[in-house]
Amino acid sequence: MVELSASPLPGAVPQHDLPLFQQLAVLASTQPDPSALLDTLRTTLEVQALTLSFPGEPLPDADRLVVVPLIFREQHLADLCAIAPPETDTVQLASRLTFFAPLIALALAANRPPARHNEWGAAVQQEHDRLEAVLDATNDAILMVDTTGELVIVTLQFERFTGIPRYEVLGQPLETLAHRIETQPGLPEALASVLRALSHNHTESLGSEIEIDEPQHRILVWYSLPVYSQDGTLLGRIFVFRDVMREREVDRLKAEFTTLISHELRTPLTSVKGFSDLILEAGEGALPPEAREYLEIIALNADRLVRLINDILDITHIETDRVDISPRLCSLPETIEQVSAALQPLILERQHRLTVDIEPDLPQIWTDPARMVQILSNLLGNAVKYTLRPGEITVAARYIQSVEALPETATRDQILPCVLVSVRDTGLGIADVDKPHLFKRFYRANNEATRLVGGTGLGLMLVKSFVEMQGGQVWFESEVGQGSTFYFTAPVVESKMILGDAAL
Amino acid sequence: MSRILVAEDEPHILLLVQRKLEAAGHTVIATDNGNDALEIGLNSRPDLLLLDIMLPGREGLEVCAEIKNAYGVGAPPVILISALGQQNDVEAGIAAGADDYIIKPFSPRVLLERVERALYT
Repeated sequence: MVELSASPLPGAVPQHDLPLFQQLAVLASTQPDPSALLDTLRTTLEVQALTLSFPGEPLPDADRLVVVPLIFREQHLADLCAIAPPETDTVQLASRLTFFAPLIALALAANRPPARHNEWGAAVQQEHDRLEAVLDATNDAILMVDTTGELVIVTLQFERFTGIPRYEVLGQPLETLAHRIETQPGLPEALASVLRALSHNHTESLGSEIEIDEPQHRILVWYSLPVYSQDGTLLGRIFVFRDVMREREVDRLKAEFTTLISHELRTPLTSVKGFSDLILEAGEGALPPEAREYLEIIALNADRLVRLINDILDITHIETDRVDISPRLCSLPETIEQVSAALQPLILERQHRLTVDIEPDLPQIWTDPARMVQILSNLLGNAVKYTLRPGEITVAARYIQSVEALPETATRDQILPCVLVSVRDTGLGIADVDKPHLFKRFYRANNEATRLVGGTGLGLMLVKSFVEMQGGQVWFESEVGQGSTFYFTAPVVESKMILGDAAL
Repeated sequence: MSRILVAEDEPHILLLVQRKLEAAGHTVIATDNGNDALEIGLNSRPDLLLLDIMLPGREGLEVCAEIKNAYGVGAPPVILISALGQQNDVEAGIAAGADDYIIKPFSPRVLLERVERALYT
């Protein structure tokens, strides 16, 4: 066995090897697999076998073996092993192999490592394939932009939502996609603006809604946020788009159904309530006292059912953004007067004392009078109902021009100037466990009083919705056994004009 | 006493309205559909019309508009009755020329008061 070290022997390289070197160089640049190089080389050199032996592997077993190391950047990649036929000049062969060795080493380093070294690469590839399969099977469309602004993930759903083939934009700068969106018919420009605005922002999380006309009409709810690796390195930003057409359709059907049912319920209720009233109108003495009492109960409960139906209709309309608000300039004292007059029988029955304390020269507010009646009758009605023993109920209204003038418990970000209305009672109060849930729908505090006092758990939710729709806020203070105070604000819009009117 | 045309397709509600109005001394012409209501309304001028909105045949809004149109300035008052209680429904009623609008369920006493207010003012 002859083994030679790779010291170049320039004089021993024949001239005909130079065109071969060129040929191999071309081959190396077009063929990713170094084995093609080895094949060509073996044929030209007329050796029996030409193989690679990687570090740690045994060399081929042969009598006339010539071995040349393949070194790239001082790293020993492998050995080039040639089995020479008999009567070959092994020194000459070693010299020629040494001449070609850098080319083989370069091809080896530049291309994929041989299969045996590829477990890591295969695992990465498998992981990548899995990720892609999962993302493509997801109903949401997902985009990811890396920190250089290049699109690194574009899922199948994005292609379906926009009609833009993903391989046209994958690996391209985000701007390419933004431009593509602008030129594609049926896609909103807002989509391009959103992508552009956020592509170089690495901190903010945002979300909203966008409507697409083509290839199919869809409402997409989107959000976007920066993403980080586990060690906190910024990886880029993702955009997620979700098709909510089906949810919208279900909401619409639900609202329609509720509206229909509510209307259908009114018809039989009209008979129940109407005929009970008709009998009751017959006057004292016409009915046995018991019959009268039972009929009164029927009429009372028919009224309660009507209120429930009205509340449910209101809630449904709030949820589907179909509330009619017709604001106009209103005088609050008149509304308070009207609401407390309606509650007067109950106030007298409970022997409460009602104080109305309205600041003189209170500016008019811009509000829907029907909604304001609902707000006030809910709050005042609650105060009357949840004060079981004779107590004090105070309705007050103040003109507020600065944050300092608001009570300490006021919620933040109030629109000023505004009118602050408070409804205070000396009733049962609200337990701490109930406080966070009070404005949720169908929520009723779990205690003796709520079982005694009829209600649907919708009133305060309506109050909150109506107050907020008109730019105000609602909050409360309460202590069990001491009573509660509910506050709400109503902004005084265009105050100059209103004050001017008041002066007239 | 007045002649009142009542159009309502729900028999119990029709009976309720009829009894209440008759008890107060009025004469009731009852029908359960919009086409008859329009015909009677045009042929023998009633003193007042009480129309349900959702009627078979012509709807209450349509009957109301045609009656108001046919009689012009001297048209009899029209009160609409409906389970459609939303603000825009009320506005549609007023736009059709109705003088008043009563939402179901109603108290018979309130109904009578509003009928008489429409008759005598």
